[in-house]
Amino acid sequence: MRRLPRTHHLELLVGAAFVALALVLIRESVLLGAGWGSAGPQPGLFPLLSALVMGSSGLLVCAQAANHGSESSPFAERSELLEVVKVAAPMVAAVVLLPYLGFYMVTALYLGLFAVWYGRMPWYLVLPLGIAVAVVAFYAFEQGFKVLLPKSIFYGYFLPFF
Amino acid sequence: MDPISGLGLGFSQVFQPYNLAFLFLGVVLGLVIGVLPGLGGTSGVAILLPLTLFIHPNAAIMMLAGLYWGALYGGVITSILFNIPGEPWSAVLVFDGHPLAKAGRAGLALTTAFVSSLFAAFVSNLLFTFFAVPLAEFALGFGPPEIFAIMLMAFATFVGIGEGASPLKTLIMIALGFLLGAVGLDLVTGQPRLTFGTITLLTGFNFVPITIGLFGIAELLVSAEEQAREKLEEIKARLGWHDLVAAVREVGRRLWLLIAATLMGFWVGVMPGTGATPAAFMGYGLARQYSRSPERFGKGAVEGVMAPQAAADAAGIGSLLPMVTLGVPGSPTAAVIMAGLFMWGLIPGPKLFQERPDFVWGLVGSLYVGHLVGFGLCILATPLLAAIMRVPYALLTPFIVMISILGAYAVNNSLFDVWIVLIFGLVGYVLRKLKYPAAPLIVALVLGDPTESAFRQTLIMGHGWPAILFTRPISGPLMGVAILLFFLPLIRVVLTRRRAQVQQA
Repeated sequence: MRRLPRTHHLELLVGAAFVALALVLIRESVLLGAGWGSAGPQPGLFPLLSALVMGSSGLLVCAQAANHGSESSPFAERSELLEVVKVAAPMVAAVVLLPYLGFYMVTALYLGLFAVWYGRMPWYLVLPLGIAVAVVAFYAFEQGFKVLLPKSIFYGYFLPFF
Repeated sequence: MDPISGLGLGFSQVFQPYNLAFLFLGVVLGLVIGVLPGLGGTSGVAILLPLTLFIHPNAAIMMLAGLYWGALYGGVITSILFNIPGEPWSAVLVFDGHPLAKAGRAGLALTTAFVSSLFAAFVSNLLFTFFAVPLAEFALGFGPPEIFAIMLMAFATFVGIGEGASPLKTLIMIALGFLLGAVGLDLVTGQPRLTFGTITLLTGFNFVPITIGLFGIAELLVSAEEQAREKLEEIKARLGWHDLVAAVREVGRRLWLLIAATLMGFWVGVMPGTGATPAAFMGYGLARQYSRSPERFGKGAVEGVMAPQAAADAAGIGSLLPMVTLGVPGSPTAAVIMAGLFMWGLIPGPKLFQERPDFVWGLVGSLYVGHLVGFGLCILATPLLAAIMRVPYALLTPFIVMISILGAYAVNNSLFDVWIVLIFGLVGYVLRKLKYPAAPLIVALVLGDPTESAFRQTLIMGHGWPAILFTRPISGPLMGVAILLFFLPLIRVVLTRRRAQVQQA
């Protein structure tokens, strides 16, 4: 069985990521000019100061994590992480599919399939519910609020409005 | 405009059917969001923010403020009945509210919380009404150094008395908020900055998708973990007339405690930065400290419900005061509401009172009416609201995700913003687990541009030196407080070390 990541590993990783980001931004700010120009302070000054604060705090966070590493707890229980992945994966899928299937089809499918798969609800109850929500949303937003949301690639071919 | 005629104008705004309908909607949505444990008031306001683009600003501000009050009331119900805080600010109510409910006095605990809330709201509304104009007029004389000093104080508050978060992590989040806000065209020279040559980033990061991701989606993922743990236990409660009478009697007996908690909460709210959550904890501390029988606390003391709830509600109202008068939000939720003002093309600050009295006073009027609506709904519909807790997570999650996507997309009609929601949701989950506070980032993102322009103008005024910040009569003391707050965590560390040394010796 593989060991789960402990909190201080993640602390180190996230702290280091902030330091790295800060370094990139410090370089950008300096290139932009972080001194005194003809119109007062140059555009890079404020980002430079912010990035310096972020970088130095990130270093200290890393140092703290390295010092207290041995006493840290697991980041999360295996069962908890599994739940998070089970909830997050469909979210990612919904966003990836959005440009292809359009907002309304994604809504109906996501709502229906997630309730069946994750919530173990009977499909004959939740699939119609998903479709109903999508249809109501379509009339509310497209006609009521006049917001145009992404449509599916089938739009205009054989589906009347999705 | 003097407060009395201002209030008249405000009420005439509130009682327009269109505005009243949205105020009502806001309170109802707030109650629902307050009851749902996976979704807090700040995320609720953020998720619904884009939808307010399609209604009149006067109605929009009432709806968002109403949502705040609704969430303040709604969190009470889950804390007391289910032992699960629906909102961070109602977490304290678990200590004494739930034991009371277990002892068969759920009705009393709930009504006491609602009555305390209403009382605190009424006192705070009066304070708001009469302090708003003087504060705004005072702020009219502020120059860039004063504005910068106030902003700095807001961020120092997060670092100094943040909600248990590490000061270093708070600093990182503030800096990240500033940096995200700085992406795009420079506000003085118009040069593109931190865009890395891309066109997508030229317009900068919008705060709406980032807020929705960091609060809404990240919260959903954190509550996904909880699905792996326990099942709900619920105590049923139906509120009756006798509960109300008993609650008013309890409140009447401890009126001074309530007034003290309210005033303290209001002050915590007005102070830029943190809001209702620390106020609630401080209210609890106040009640225990001045109780004649502190040993009852934690076992079902009525004061342990009364004082935190009064302080939280007062802080919520107080946090809007510096937002409208100075343009500095007093709490994270107020920061998101302030982001809404920018979105509707309004600039919060002292001039708003002259330019849009209908907007400002409409908000003030809605403070009174919104709280009455929330109170009435809670008294009548608590069993119904408690039932919302039982809506399956599996149905709720896709629903919230799709509303979040919709909101993020609707601001600029861009799929890039939808990706931002997702990325900040996933990153936000990890950050939240590591106790990086999300609120300072959002406040820094919203206040980034005003802070930076105040900073640059100050430097120009001081010919390149920030010394001017310390020499002006108003900004000087503010800077002093800000610096003290920044170093407070360090001072605390030194003090505890010294105490430990003394004990060893």
